[in-house]
Parts: sequence; structure tokens; C-alpha cells
Amino acid sequence: MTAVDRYLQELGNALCSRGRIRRRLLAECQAHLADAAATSSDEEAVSRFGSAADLARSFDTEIAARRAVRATVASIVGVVAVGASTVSLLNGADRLATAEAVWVVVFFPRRRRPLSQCCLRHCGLRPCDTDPQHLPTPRCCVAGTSRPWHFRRRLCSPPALPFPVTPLPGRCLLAQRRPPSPRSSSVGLARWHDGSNPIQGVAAGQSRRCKKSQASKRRPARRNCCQLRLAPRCVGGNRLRPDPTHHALPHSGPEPERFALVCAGSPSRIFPASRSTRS
Amino acid sequence: MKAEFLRGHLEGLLLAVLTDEPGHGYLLSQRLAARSGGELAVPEDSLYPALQRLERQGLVTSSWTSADGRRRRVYRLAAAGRRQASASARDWKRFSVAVDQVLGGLA
Repeated sequence: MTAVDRYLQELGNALCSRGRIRRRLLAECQAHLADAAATSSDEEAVSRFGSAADLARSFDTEIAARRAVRATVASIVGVVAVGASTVSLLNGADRLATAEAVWVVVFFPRRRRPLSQCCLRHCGLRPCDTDPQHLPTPRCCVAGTSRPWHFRRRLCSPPALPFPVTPLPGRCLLAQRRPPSPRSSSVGLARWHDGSNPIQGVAAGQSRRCKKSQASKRRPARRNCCQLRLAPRCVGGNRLRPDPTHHALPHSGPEPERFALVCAGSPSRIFPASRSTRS
Repeated sequence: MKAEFLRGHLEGLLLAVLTDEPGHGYLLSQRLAARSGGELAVPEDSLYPALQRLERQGLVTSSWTSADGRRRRVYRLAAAGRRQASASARDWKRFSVAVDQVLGGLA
């Protein structure tokens, strides 16, 4: 084994990059060393080439910077796709629940998990029999649909991009970015329980904007916040009560006219609000 | 010359030596050393990452060629790279004049 071969082996071991990019760099270095060795000895060519560890570090840093940009773009696209599919899933479950325009707001989780992983976990792709107590509190995704007669106004609103905001209930950024309307559909993450077995999922319902007189005087920043009330529901024959501490949106306001619950492994269900299921 | 002096100017120097004709990595380092009278020896641990960076920015293009039984990656200057090379030359002239006004009197 020549000095050039040893150097290339050392460089290959030091490189963290894999695949085509790695093969390309090794081939380029091999050609460079072969050219340099043709005018001098192998050892001199290798010594002029520098440390393999330094070269690998420089190259890996360059590749990492490039991949970070790609990963960020891919994460944003994935998150928006997941949010849009969740909204379409909710709308597709009921013919009456039509939505001409879709907007999605995605909130980064406090723990800075990868966005796609977090949204997949919290948007219904999780087994229902998993104990939610062992899962992180949902703070990552809120999606909403617009009413057909508010089509243009919703499209003009800007929330189709992710915002690094946590925690969700305290900010109500969703509501602040919506155009004023007396009533609209909202979707949020919520938790229900029947005393011992909590269920966590995506909930949808009608919501109103608060009047200023109803806003809290202690927290004026919450004025005009969107409020969604989650009523108890019967799922699988069990009567579930909403857990007021785990609502993605404030637990107050008017009763929802329609309501949806999405769990993994089961189709989305939208329940008409009736007196028999309200508390 | 110290390698630190090249930092920040390596991309511009590579674009400058590519304006004449395309070349592979070894040829570019040789061309750079020759045109600088042997003063500028590009460290190889900076050469190939810099070429990759230029390619990512769309300033150069590259392709594999075979000659003398060897495969080499040949880099060519793109149109944007030619404009960037001219801009780098103008910036360097301004910078060198400014530095010379400060340091020139001490020599």
C-alpha cells in the first residue's frame, strides 16, 4: 500500500459524508495526489496535501451547511402537508363541513423536536391506546378551515407558514392573525377523559371571537382571542369529558355547532352538537 | 505567504484562475502558484471545499473528464462566476489601495 492509498483510506475514515458526495471527493483527491506524485514522490505529495482530518472536517462542514438548508425546507413542506391533510381529513368526513380555503398554522414545540416528527405524532398518526400521560403535551399544531363565504378573506391571511411560537394557549396567535368574523371553524388539539382513560386528538368546532368586554383585564394581550369550547363526547360507547387543562384553545365561549375528533386507525368523525352530549 | 492571508480571498482567486480556461483541482492550484510567482500555495484542505462552495453558488460548473487514463473533475466558470470574478477584482483593488495607504508608508 502506497502513501497515497494510506492517505485516501485515512481520509475516507475521517469523512462523515456518505454516498455520491463522498465518492466524488475521494476521486478528486486521488486524481490530485496522482498528479502531484507524478512530479515528486508519494510522501511529498501527501505531505503537501495536508492533514486528512482537516480536509474531512472542512468538507463535512460545507456539506452540513448545505444539507441544513435542505432539511429546513423539507421540514416546512412536510409540516404544511401534514396540516393540510389533517384539515382535508376533517372536511372529508362530513359533506356539510365544506371548506373552500385551507390555512394551516404550525407551532414549533417547546422541546424543539423535528417538526415532521412532532406533527406526525400529534396529528392523529398515533395509536389511540397509547397512554397520553407518557406523551409530550401537544403544542405544535393548530389548523383551521374557512367558511366558503370568507374565501377571499382567508386567502389573504398569512398563516400558511410555521411560526416559532410556544406555548400555544397563551399566545393565541392563531386568533390574532385571523380576519374578524363572527363565527368560523377551528381545529385544535385537545384531550378528553372518562375519569381514568384520557384520549388525545385533534378537535374541531365552531368558535367566536371574544368581545373586548369579555377579554381578561389582567391579560389585555388576550383580547380578541379565538375561543373554542369542547363539549363532552361519546366515543366508542364511552362518555368522555374534555380536560380543561389540555385544550389547545381556551375552554370558554359558545357551544360548537359541529365537532370532530381524529384518532389514529379510525376515520375522522364529526359530531353534530346536541343537548344529549353537552355538559 | 501565510495561509491566513488567503482566507476570504480564495474564492475570488479560484474564479480568477478559471477565467482563462477550465481546469481540475490540481491544475488550478498549480496555476495559482504560477501566477503568483510561487507565493500563493493553496492549502488543499481549503481548495476542494471552496470549489464545492462555488459550484453550489452557481459560479462554476463541473463535470468528469477522462484524459491519460485518469478521471478528473474539471471546473468551468459560469456566467455568474465571470461577473463575480470582475466584482472581486474591483473590490480587491479598492481594498489593496486602502491597505497600502495605511501600511505602505511603513515599508
